[in-house]
Amino acid sequence: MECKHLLVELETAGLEEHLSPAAVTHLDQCAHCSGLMADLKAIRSASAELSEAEPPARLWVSLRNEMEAEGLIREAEAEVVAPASRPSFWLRVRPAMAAAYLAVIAVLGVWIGTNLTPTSQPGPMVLVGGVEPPDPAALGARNPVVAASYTKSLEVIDNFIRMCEKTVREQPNNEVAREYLYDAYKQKADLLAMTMERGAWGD
Amino acid sequence: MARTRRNQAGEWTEADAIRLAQEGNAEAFEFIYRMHSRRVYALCLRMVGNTAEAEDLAQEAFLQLFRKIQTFRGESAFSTWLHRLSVNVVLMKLRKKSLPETSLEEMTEPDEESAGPRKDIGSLDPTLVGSIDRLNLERAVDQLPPGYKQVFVLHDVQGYEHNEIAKMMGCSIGNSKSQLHKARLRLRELLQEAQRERARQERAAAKDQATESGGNTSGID
Repeated sequence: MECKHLLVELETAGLEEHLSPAAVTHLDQCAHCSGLMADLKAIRSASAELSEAEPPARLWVSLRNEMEAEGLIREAEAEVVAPASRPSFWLRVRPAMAAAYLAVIAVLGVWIGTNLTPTSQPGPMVLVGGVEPPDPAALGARNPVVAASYTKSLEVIDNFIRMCEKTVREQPNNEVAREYLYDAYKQKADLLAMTMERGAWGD
Repeated sequence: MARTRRNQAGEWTEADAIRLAQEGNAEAFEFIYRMHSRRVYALCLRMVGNTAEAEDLAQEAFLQLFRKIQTFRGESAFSTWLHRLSVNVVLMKLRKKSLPETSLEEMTEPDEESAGPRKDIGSLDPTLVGSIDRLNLERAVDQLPPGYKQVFVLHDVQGYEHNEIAKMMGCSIGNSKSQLHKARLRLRELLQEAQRERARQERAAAKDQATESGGNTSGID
């Protein structure tokens, strides 16, 4: 066999197939052809490493924009990104939130029902922290019904605050939880302010 | 809801991701993209040789996939379906690009000038074994004529068989084998030329260094 015949056999049989005995003999005797064979196998082996390449990050962004424009994506981003955190938080806080609002309304109703006379002291409270809440015992001595409603309302709101604080600690980036916590502080401030403004616990 | 469809490691299986993507779930689309983008992008990059065009092609391939994902019924492997679709996108693009400009002959047969230096009959070149690095190989593949490159990338890089390539490219199996063989021989020439060029540069650098140190010595004297 001559070198040119080996080339023809390599073309048809490839590097993977078994070569004819004549080709094998030629490869044993011809340094030029055995070098060629070794090089071609080295090229094939190295080429497999080219099968993967990292695309730039902008490719996905661009693809996603195109998919959104075409309406291929049918889900809201928020539900996809954090499917566990947002709905479960809503489910947990919803009853507490409703209870807290009801509690405030109940205090208002009780206060109107008892027809207490507003006094000029003390002034409106805007912050919860640093302000001593009205003492239920003192309040109870003057108006037991208002005292009971106040105590219950405060307990509900405090529970709600604790729940919100826990969620914010666990999920510092959860905007919904932060919003609810702010609302809870505001509710407590409103309750205390209303009770103090109306002089419900007396002079 | 989506979480319950994940496995114990918190990852979706491909089948779950496909089902959710068929419902239009963005996270499932991304999961599929992350699984396959490296291979699809590599295919496009090797075929066209420039990153901007490769990005466009990869995006087009995934867009076509996601537009058609509703029709995937699982009769074949999803990855096979996706990669075949990607190859079709690339080949279609290359056909459109090459038709008005290049004849089939030009696509496959390098002319005398572009073919580079011919091998001297009887001379023994230093072997390439152990000296092929990724960068040089990428450069060499880029320099292949389009017809050689397509078959080479599909066979040696992507792992397709000749009968599959023949079907995809609309040619005979013999033609695919012939193109692959010529591509490998051409790559060998290109890599050898790069190797010779490196050796020349190293010799020149060594010569410069020797001259410089000689000059410095005479300066001291």
